[in-house]
Amino acid sequence: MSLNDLIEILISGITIGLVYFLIAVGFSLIYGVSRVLHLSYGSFFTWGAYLAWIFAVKLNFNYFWVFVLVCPILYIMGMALERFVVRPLRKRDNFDFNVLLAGLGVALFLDYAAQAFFGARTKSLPSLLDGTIQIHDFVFSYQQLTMLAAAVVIAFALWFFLEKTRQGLALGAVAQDPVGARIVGVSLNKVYLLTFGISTILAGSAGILLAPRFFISPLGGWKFLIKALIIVVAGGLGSIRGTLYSAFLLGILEALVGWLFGLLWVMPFWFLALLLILLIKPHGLLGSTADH
Amino acid sequence: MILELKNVTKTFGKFAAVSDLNFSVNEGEIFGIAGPNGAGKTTLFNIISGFYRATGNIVFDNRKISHLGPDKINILGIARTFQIPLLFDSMTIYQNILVGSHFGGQGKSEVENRINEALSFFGLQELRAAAVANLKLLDKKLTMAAAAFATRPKLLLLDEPVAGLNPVEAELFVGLVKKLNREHGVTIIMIEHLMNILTEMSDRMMILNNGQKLIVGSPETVINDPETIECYLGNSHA
Amino acid sequence: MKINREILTTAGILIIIAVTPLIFHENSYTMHLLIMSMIWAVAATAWDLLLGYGGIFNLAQVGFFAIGAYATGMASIHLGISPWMGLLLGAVASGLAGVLIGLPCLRLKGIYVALMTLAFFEVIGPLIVVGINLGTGGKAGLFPIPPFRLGSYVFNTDELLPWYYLCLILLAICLFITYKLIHSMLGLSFTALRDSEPFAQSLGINRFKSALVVTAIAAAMTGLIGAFYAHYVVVISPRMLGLDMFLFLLIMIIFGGAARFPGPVIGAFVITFLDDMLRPLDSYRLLAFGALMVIMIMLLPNGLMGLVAKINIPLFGKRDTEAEMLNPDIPKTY
Repeated sequence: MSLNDLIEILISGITIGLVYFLIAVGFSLIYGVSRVLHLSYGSFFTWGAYLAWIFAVKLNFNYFWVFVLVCPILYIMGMALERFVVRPLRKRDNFDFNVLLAGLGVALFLDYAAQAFFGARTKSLPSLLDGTIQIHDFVFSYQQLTMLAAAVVIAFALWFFLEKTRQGLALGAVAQDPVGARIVGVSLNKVYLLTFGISTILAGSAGILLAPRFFISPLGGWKFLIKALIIVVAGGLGSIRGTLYSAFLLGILEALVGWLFGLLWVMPFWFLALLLILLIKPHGLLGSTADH
Repeated sequence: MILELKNVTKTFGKFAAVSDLNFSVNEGEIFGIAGPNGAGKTTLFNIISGFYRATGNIVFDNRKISHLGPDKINILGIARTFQIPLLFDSMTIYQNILVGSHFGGQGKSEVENRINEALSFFGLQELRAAAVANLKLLDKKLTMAAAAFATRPKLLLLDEPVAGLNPVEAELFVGLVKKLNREHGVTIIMIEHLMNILTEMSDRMMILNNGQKLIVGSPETVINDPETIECYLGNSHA
Repeated sequence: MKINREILTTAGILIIIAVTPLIFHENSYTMHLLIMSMIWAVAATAWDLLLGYGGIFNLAQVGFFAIGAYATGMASIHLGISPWMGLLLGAVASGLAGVLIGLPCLRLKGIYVALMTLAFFEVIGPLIVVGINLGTGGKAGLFPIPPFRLGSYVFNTDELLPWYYLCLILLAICLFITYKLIHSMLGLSFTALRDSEPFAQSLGINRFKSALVVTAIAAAMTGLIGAFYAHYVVVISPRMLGLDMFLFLLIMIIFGGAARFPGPVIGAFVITFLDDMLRPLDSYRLLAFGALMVIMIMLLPNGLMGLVAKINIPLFGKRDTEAEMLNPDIPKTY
């Protein structure tokens, strides 16, 4: 392995890591705030891409307008899921179990709705920007760079929202102590609605950003859901910073394993890494022990 | 000496619920524990019975138990009850006791004998087929104690066994605890709020305050100790 | 064994399955659907043992099905062992896999068990593909897996009756084991853990031990029927690890009633035939199943058997209480 190879693996690993962070962060946020294992998350990823395909390819809008139009739709879809499926289940016994299965049902429904409307054949989105740029020996496409930039912007916006706005702080309060938050006057239902709305936007945006590279297919979200899941568990359920670290760690691992043994070995290695992390730290890299 | 605690400390974040606790309990005695709310009494029970992991050393029956989980500790011979009745609500009294008899303690033979002994000792023979969900508080507490007794413990931890009972019921329960101690040789550690009950029953007692041991001794020495008086009167009259 | 509603319902189902070929034995397509229903019935019942009764969110059951199928497939093709031994091998291999995945996972809390087992399930497919040099057949799959032989008779696709009754015997064995397990002390330990975990632990119940035993048994049953499946369909490939089967088994459990033995068996038959009837709808079929799954959870959380239990049918004796439904064979009193 030459130095150039190593740098290339590292760059590719960091890029993959950022993308995975984008995919996983919404999942992490929902679990952190509402303790829901959101198994239909991957389907919203797919739907974000399909909605973007309608506006960008069918109706010929540019990407700016695509985001402006798609985000509110995703927001409403996420809130509807919380209001009509999750909230009624919250009042009953066995919430964890029921919400897990209901999530799978919603995923099945959404995925095959996509297949019924858009067909089983894959669709693709045009690149965000065309062209490439060369720095020393390394070639970057503008697509790759915009994706990186978008990931950084979204990560920063999320940080700003959670740390600097009143509503974001309410989310954090509920994540830490729902009973205490309610006592000081935070409405749990409102916070849960907001969380589902925002997470769905995050899932959908990741779908849009990745679609030019990976194509869109009705069941394509599952692959990413499983990856998001491993990332979030390895990082520590509910910890956004943990999600960031583990996304980079597993991204670099993916680039390395892909280079050494081929992409088929990536999932087995991820699983091994997850096992190892959980054996050493049972709650993930930055998981809190408080809630378990 | 059946149980010995050395330098036992349990912290939650920065708050020390139990700090640097040292004491021992003799075989066959009734050892009472009292102290104001939040003194760390229930935390102490949770540590001894294996629900919380604490620092320091706990030795039971010449075996170190500080690293064991609740089920292993029960198998070695420590049973407990809880302050609020925690029962298997979808089962009958008989089945609740069956769980203790089958899974708890050592020696899997004589499961049926143990259940019958526990039922008759706590006067539950006639209610054995009753579902526990609808029982009155006394019967719930008796069932919980009977299930614990069915594991054949050498040491039984009772967490406020008479709280919420009327005086007649409380007297019945206290009588059973004494009988358990005398006739079956079970060592008892008991948390109780009502000082008169505790002093009447205990061979020795300990006052806890802010997670620390204030004093250990015979009931007379403990209740006449100025520190106890200050701690108790100071709190209950505040 | 006391006669109760569960035994009556189970016996009724088995008898109906046993006599059905009198009517349908010439219709090989219906026979095939019935055999598939029985296969799914075993897999769903075993899964329900974990999800419904044990409260263990093991999502790797379809993986154990595949491990059973591949164990017998590889051994009978490459090593030439008899398919009858293959059935046993499938059960043992899956049971061992269950223990191996259970050892690190089952110490974790519920939600981590779900995540870890789901991740494990996702890894099996890639492992089969990369294991092509070990004789897994890779992406293309294993073919042809030899049929059972009985003396000089060779099981074949023109005559489904022998397959049918062999499968019925396996189903009956698995249902018997499941029933016994639910009403054993192991079953009681899960009821105790669900009612009050601290009290259960303080009385000597070890959740990890109970969970590991039931995981191994459920995996072994799933592996057994997976092995039968491999010989029955002749060709197996990593495609069986797709989402369809995963979700369909869950729908069967929910529809029949989780922790409502033998609900998942009924669910398996209803959903298999419903799926076949809705086939003309194409994509809308799975969309409908997704909606059905959500609606069942929202409106009928205890499934069909939960509904039946609420109705008083004189034929079936008096209504069971919750405790009786959970542990009817454990004496309430002596």
